Amino acid sequence: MHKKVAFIGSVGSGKTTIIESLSNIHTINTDVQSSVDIGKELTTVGIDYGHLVVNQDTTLGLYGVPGQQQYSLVWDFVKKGLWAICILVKNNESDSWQEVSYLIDYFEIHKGMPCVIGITHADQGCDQHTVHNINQILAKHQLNIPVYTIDPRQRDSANLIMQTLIALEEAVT
Amino acid sequence: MSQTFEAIFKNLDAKLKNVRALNLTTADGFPLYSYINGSFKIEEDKLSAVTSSLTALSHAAARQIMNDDYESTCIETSMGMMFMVQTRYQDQDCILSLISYGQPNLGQIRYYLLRLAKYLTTAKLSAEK
Ligand SMILES: Nc1nc2c(ncn2[C@@H]2O[C@H](COP(=O)(O)OP(=O)(O)OP(=O)(O)O)[C@@H](O)[C@H]2O)c(=O)[nH]1
Ligand SMILES: [Mg+2]
Repeated sequence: MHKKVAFIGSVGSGKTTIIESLSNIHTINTDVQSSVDIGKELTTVGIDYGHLVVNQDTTLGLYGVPGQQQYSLVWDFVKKGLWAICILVKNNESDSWQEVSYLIDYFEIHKGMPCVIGITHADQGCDQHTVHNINQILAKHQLNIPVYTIDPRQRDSANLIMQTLIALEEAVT
Repeated sequence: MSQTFEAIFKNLDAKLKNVRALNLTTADGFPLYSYINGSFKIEEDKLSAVTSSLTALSHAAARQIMNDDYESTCIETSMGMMFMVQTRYQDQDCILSLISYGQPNLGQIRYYLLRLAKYLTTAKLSAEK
């Protein structure tokens, strides 16, 4: 079975990076030079696509969206038929965790859907508040979503997200 | 003296007829110049975001599937057409897009738009939008 997973979250949280780390194929990449200072050179304006073979029965389509909200037309397209969602949050950046509430509503994340939150950039100085703030948002939405600290650049770390999503589905069904 | 974007639009419309909109946006979707004809309603920000997404995807299709260099993207509808080409303006990667209604002539649109895209790489337009 082929299932669709979306990676969402703020600009620079590591969506494009994690898909590159996880994918078994060369990813489809639609990054362009950013014309404003966003703390990095490139930003996604179309879609990221990668493909991950889990086992004989299951393959995953990995879809990354642009973090910038002006591209919500791409979000609308990716949102259809999702099996699971991973929200990436940049540590130490208030805009990034504050957006989580908006993303939960926009992507209609609900109890029956496998979902994981990954806090990235944690190696660049750790901020305990990020986890605390995210947990408060989740409580407000009455959602029980696992929150991990991950490094999207490392395949093993990225894999933790995928294994959790698969385990969550088994728990749900 | 530098041209206004409106003058460029008028010039193009005189040749092509039925041009509804002309837009110059950065590759990451920030509108630089837009001109929309008469009563036609288009949200400039949305147009810029759509053109940058579509161009990036077209680019990926050209490079990663067709193994070739990207040139342009065309969308045809029952009533018209939207044509997008890459350009550079003031040392920034940009996209020039045109929306035409009526019976557009693809060959003409491509010819004039590619010519304009080439002109923009060395032009400096009047600051007035
Ligand atoms: N030090 C450090 N760098 C990271 C970490 N995660 C990602 N990065 C880097 O941060 C940048 C993240 O960029 P992207 O993957 O393009 O981010 P994105 O979420 O796709 O951003 P947009 O497409 O612009 O929305 C890359 O340069 C990564 O190498 C991390 O945990 N620690
Ligand atoms: Mg990206």
